[in-house]
Amino acid sequence: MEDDENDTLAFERWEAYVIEHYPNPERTGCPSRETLKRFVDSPAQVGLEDLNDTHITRCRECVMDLRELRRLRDTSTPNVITEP
Amino acid sequence: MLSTSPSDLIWVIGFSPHSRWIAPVVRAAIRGAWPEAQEIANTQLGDEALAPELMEVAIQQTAEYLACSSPIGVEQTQEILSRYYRNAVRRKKRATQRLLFRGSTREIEFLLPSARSFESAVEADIDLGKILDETPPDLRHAMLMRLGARSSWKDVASATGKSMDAIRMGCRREVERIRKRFGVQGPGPKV
Repeated sequence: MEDDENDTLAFERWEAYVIEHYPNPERTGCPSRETLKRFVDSPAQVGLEDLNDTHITRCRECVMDLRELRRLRDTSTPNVITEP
Repeated sequence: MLSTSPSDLIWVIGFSPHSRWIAPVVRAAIRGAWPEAQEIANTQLGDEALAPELMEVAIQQTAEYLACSSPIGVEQTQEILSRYYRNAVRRKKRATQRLLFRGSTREIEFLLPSARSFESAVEADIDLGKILDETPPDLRHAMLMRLGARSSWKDVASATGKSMDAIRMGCRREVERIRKRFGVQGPGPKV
């Protein structure tokens, strides 16, 4: 399996791994939904402190939320990623 | 045998015209980190003599990291160097532990881990839950932008004020580990 220039496949596999291995039904340490939304819409504006550092690499629920938020972002504003 | 001077270790850095600032700060960082590095090698690995080879690995990685960053001071460089050094010590310790099987066949049979624990050991080698723990904050943020927001490397570069090549080079180690974990090949050469 060969990846693309953005390493998309590697990150997709990583995301699937988090979903499989890190259930967090009690949402321990999760950033707020609003923070996750801001992160998806303007990732550079949301720092590591807001994200509780690398929490999303160990939280199925956050990763699922981020998936959903990205879907909403990409369907509602298809041109959200624009050249400066 | 003569003991190694920290300054002797700097040779592992290759010099390029645009990164001449790196050698002096790394040299100073090595001097600062050296006593603790020896102590760590002694307490963690039981052999202070291992410190030079592990420090060389850390110096190499630090130099690679700095080559993609703007000039920084000695204190920050020492922090990065120490982080890479502790990583090298951990890897060495893990490798040593795996090789230490002694005794009769019966004893070895008793001591051998089950297939499951062996699998766990391999998995732990590339524990994706901890993959960013030792990554510098700016690169950690970049990796999270790719994972969580699916920003392209181009967008990540733009947001962090670095070139796309620099940000990809900075995150290369982590991305390689993810690829290795899942058997994903990197992109082919550009035609």
